[in-house]
Amino acid sequence: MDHRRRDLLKTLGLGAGLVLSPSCQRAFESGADLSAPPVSGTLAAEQLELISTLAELIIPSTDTPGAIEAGVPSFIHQIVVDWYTQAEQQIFLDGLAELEAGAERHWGTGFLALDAEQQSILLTEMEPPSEGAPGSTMRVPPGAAGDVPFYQKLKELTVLGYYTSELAARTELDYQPVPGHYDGDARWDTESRQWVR
Amino acid sequence: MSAQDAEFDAIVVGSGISGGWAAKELTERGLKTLVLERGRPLEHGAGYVGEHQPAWKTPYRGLPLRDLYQDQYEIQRTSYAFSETTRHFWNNDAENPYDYDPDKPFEWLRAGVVGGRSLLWARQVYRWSDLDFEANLKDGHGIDWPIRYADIAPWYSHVERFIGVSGAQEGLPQLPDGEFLAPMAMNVLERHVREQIEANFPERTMTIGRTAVLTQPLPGSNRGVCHYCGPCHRGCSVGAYFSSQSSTLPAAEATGNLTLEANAVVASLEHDPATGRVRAVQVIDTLSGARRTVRGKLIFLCASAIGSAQILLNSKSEAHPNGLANGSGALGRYLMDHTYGAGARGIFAGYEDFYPRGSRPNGIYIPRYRNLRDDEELPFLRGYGYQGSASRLGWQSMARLTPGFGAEFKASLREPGPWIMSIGGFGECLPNAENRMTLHPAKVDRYGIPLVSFDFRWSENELAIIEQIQLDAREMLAAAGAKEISTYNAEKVGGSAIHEMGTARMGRDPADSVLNAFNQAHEVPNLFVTDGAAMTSSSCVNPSITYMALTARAVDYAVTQLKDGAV
Repeated sequence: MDHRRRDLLKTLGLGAGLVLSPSCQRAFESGADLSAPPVSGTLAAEQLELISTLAELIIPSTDTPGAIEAGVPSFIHQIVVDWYTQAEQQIFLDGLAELEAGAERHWGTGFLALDAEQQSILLTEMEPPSEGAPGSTMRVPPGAAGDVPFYQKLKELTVLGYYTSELAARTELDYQPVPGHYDGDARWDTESRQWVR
Repeated sequence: MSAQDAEFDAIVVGSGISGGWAAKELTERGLKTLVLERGRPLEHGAGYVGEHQPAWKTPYRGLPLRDLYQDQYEIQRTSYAFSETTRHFWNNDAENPYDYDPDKPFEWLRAGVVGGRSLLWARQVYRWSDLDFEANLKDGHGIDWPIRYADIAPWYSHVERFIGVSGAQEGLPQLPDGEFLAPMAMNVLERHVREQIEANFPERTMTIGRTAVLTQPLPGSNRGVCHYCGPCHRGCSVGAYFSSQSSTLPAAEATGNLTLEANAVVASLEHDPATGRVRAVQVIDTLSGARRTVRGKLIFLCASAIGSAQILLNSKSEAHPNGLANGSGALGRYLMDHTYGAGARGIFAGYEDFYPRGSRPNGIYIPRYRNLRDDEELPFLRGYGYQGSASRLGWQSMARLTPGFGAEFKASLREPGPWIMSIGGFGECLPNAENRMTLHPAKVDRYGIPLVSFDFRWSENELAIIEQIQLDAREMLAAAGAKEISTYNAEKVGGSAIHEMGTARMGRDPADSVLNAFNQAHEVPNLFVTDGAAMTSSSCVNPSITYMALTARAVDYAVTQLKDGAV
């Protein structure tokens, strides 16, 4: 296992004592079937790495930490494995496989071997036309459950996992568990951050 | 004194908003009082395990536990206040089911702990006016209330002084002012909308919500003031919002006259034909299933509109073959709720350099303005009020509205989105004999108590109100300058406003009502019902303060009667 992958698993909270199951190990060595369902409650290492790369692509590290540092990949892993139904899980994993297939088709290599720009092109191709109208925001069900397509599942989970993380609460957002008062005329300026609710 | 060995001066069934008040008022008058609560014990403060719990410590970051909720909380999960931060307060629907016609569903939202729904309520408190108390008499729907505003006004004051109500004086005859603590502030957009509504519709007003949350220290109370963390329904260990747990039960406890028993479901009341009184209460221990009898001189049913009527319907005897105190046949009928879940929301341009600070556990209120006079030609009787609030769209909504991903996407989510204001109506429900709850003829719960069975649907009047609520909401938001407006109607079923009432109504005539003007059963002098069951009509305002005031008033009467030897 190379250094990068070890760090990734640590980020996922799966590093210590992780033993890949035999089937997982085989998938890892032979080029994984990315749409394969989890074994023993864990996705294959290549699926995890793809999730991690995609989450960071959606919310990268900038002047504040990005998705990986905020623990988003392990959150997505948990939702896909524990919370999604089998059908929802399959939509998600098929999406991973589709991205991988797209990379092979366009560039003859795996998704993870592409540079960020190429990865973004593939991901952008999956984006549905924007519905755009404020007031219709509630159409995405919590967790992008149901038959919501892969792209929206991935984006919704990344956003949820990021903005509800403790790290984002303390960097990207303003965490004041006990505000103490209400000011309906408070100002927004460039230094302001949205409140953690 | 344990419940087994003594006769109590009074027995209160239920520890929610009404039961807590009954306990406080009875014990403060020196009566040895037993409170029976079907729910689990819960300690004020320590029991609020979801309080201030951040998302990263909440399972699945707050996403619903779908299988569990489907299996065990099929009804309770529909509430906005139901989540992993509050689930421990709610009823388990699988353990405590009820019955309804699937074509006419009714949502019975219940708590399952000491303090009842006073822990979970939305804390909005509005006095009724004579517009409400005279409504049945004027339009002929239902029977006349046996009381008027003047009868209850001093009791509203009594309650307000103890619970602490934040609000603004408005001088409106249809929404009498009370004894208020400092009002919470409207935010910048809400003030703009209020100005525009009042400029365009002279008969309409928008005020800040009147809420049982302390905005300043309450004289004589050690409850803390609000710190604006937001979700009161998770519990408030400083006691800033009123609940039985924070307020009435501790007051009752302090008298030394209170005995509180949790896990104690009341199956029925035992009527003594010789005296015409209730002589005993049949109690089942919810953990062991053990049955026992407790005795009290006064019985106060405060088990909620549905729960209290269920107990009475299940208390049949030779003298009361259709249920206790049901000579009129009104028991279980005239079930009402408020229309709920319809309104409009609008996006506003501007005010982008404002972003309110703190999470205000309260919104705005637009009091009823329809049918205040007799000469309006509207396709419905009575009226509705609105609750709502304005805020800026946050990251979750904006992420769904913002295409793309990456650094630019992330940067764009840093700034909050545009302002949105939403107003939703609560409409009055007419009393209707066909809307009712009964005991299921065959199905029983795990204690052998017959299940409650609902038969409820909105009448044409409520459906017309729901339509008008949407039209008026759009009209007001448009007048206030909203750029994009969408109306909504969630087609909520009965019960979903959690304002169910009317199942043992008060009245002047024993032939058509269960209770008299003091919430005393016409037919059973030592029996009082002071929760939502007692309501003769529904008004359109949130009902809890009226239950509290009626309870305090009924206790005052009952104790006087007891001392005079009349009960």
